[in-house]
Amino acid sequence: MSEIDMAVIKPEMIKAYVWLQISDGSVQQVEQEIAMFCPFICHEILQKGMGSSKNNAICLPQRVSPSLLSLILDYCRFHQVPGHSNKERKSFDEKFVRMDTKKLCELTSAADSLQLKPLVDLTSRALARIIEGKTPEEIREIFHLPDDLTEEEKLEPLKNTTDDPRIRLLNRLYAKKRKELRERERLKNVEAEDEHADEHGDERSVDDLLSFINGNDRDPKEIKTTKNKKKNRRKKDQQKNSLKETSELNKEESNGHDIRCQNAEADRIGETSNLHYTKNDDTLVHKTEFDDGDIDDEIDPALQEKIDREVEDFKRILNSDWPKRMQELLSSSGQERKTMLFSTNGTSLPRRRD
Amino acid sequence: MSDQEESEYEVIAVSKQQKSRSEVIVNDRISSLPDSLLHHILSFLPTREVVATSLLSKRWRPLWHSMPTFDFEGRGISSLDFFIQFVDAVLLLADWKPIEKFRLKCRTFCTLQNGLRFEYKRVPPTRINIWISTAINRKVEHFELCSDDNEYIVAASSIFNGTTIRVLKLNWVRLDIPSSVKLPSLKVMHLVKVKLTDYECLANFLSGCALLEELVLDVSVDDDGGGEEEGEGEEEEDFTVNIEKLEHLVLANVHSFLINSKALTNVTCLQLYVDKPPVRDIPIFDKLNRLEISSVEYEHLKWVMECLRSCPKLEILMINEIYVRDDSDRGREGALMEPTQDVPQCLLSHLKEFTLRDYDGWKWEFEIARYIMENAKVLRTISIHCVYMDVDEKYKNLNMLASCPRGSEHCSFLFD
Repeated sequence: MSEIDMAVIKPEMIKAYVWLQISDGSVQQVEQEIAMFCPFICHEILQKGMGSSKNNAICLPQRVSPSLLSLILDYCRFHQVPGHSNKERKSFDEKFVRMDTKKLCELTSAADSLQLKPLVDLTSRALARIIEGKTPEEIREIFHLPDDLTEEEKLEPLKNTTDDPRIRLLNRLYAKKRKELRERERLKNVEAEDEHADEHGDERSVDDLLSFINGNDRDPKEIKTTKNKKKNRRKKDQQKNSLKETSELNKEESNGHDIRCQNAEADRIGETSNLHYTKNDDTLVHKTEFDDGDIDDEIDPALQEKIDREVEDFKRILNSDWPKRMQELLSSSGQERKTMLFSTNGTSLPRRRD
Repeated sequence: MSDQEESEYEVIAVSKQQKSRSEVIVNDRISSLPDSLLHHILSFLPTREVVATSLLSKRWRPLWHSMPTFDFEGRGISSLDFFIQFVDAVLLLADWKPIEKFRLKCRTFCTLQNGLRFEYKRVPPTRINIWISTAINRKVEHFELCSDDNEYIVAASSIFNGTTIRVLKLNWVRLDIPSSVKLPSLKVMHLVKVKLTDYECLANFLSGCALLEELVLDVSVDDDGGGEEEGEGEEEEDFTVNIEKLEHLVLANVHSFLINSKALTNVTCLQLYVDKPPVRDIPIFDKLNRLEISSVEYEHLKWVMECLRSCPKLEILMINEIYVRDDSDRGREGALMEPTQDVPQCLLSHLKEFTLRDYDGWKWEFEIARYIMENAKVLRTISIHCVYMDVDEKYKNLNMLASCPRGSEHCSFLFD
């Protein structure tokens, strides 16, 4: 009886529908001509004969959620109509991709799993436009990327293939600034850094080093300090070796930069021992500065401003071309920068432990 | 501080970090996309930016090594040396696997020497050739070479041995085409503002591209004064280039003199750029569906009519500009067609769309529009786009055109 009913009903249905089963288990009916726009669904219907009834519903890939499916169907619904002009299609596309980046990524993934190439291209281009021209920090913020590269990895973004000392110097300076920023953040949020430091091998917080520099009396964690001492001693030896290296490099450098900043030397040394910027600066060059009494607990607000400005400056510089950056960094305000960097090392990282 | 307190600190610190880490993971949608999708997204960015993504996170660090596309631009880089180093470094460091797309855009780098004078430097041709050869060694499929500043790049003949190249686009390049060209996979070729040694070598070139489907040619030859400046007293010789028929060619955007060669007869869509005196013996284009002619001199309008005769199934006709070389010719008398001549077949049976651009009310433009309107029996739309005119002029022209008899009943007339 029911079969006869079905036979009667069917011819009256003008539009053909297919059944789709979404990742969350729910089943949905969609006009066939729209669904067929997706190669995946098309294949399932034609090759496997699926989708004709609720029981026989086409299982959509897991990446396609109900909300994404409705977006994709909107896209298909518009584009499968042959009558639209190219201008209309372009205009639709532009409006279509206006959504938050998270959704855009999910949509790309869903469209890819349904093999809907035009939509994959559209969303990919949109994502590329978002990435284009932004600094790594900006990109990380937009896409919520974890900042999990070690200093070492960040130090050599291009694996320094050309061994261009300018590039290496730049990497050092950049990394140093990043580190300082992060250290300050860390100090605000988290007290203990042990776990993190150990994880990354010989990376250790500048904090600890500073405590050593500052003479231990403010440091309640004596255990750590003694550890540092030992590590530092090891590092010193490395530094001696690297000193030779750097002096050779210095000779090689043919930039013609007159201002051979002591910064530069210090930084190159810092390269081999990764993080001991402050320590190295101290021991090798400016012992006197640290013996000064101007090592405060609090950051002098004027200094803080200076630091912020410098960071902004740095960001701006990094956004422009490298050689230009180099020139800017090394030639302009060389003197100022020298003292700046050293004094920030000395004073900007307060010991806030109790 | 006691050991216990210290360890408590550690625990708090770790859990805080873990929490923020997992939050980050949940919100980080893009890193969970498969490599192939990320490569696809990055393929829309210049290589410079792609390499920079290695600074983003652990997931992104090795990504650029396996990118199948390269897009090197001199733009945004101020030093020539750095540009060369960068391209070399990337080509060396990237994984050795087939390249899907390789695009190189060169420009002139300007450097201040000793603070006194500017020095203009370009990438040396030997370097470019090494890069081209590298790409070909890596089985590149889509190859583009162009210049950012309208200066010719001299390209090596190694391009012509790129057996895997499917799409080749050259812009502002000087080519010395060898006698044997092996581009068996080539499907799409765009040579725009390319300098050749002579036109005959085109025959060599195209003979090696049997599978060609799409062709755009805007080439010139050294000592070529350009079609427009050629002497008035030139011999009325047909200029031919003998190219074999390209069976698969579907779309062509070429100089009009190539129409004579049998190369193009299979096309469905043809765009002609009339710069040399047009040729006379036009073969029949059986499959031509769409014809677009740019820059026709009024003298050659009769030739346009001849073309129409050769395209029996033409459905769309566009004429982009009809001009006079000499203003004195504006008043010239004459008819578009001899009264005894038949109306071209396509007008009678197939032509559906006719577009005329840069219309400025001039007699011959009006003539051709009128002729087509009158004789095209199945015409659906006719659009005439004017150059800037004041309202009165425009209205007058509109009236003139609208009052022409129309051969087709369902014809809509668009005038703007």
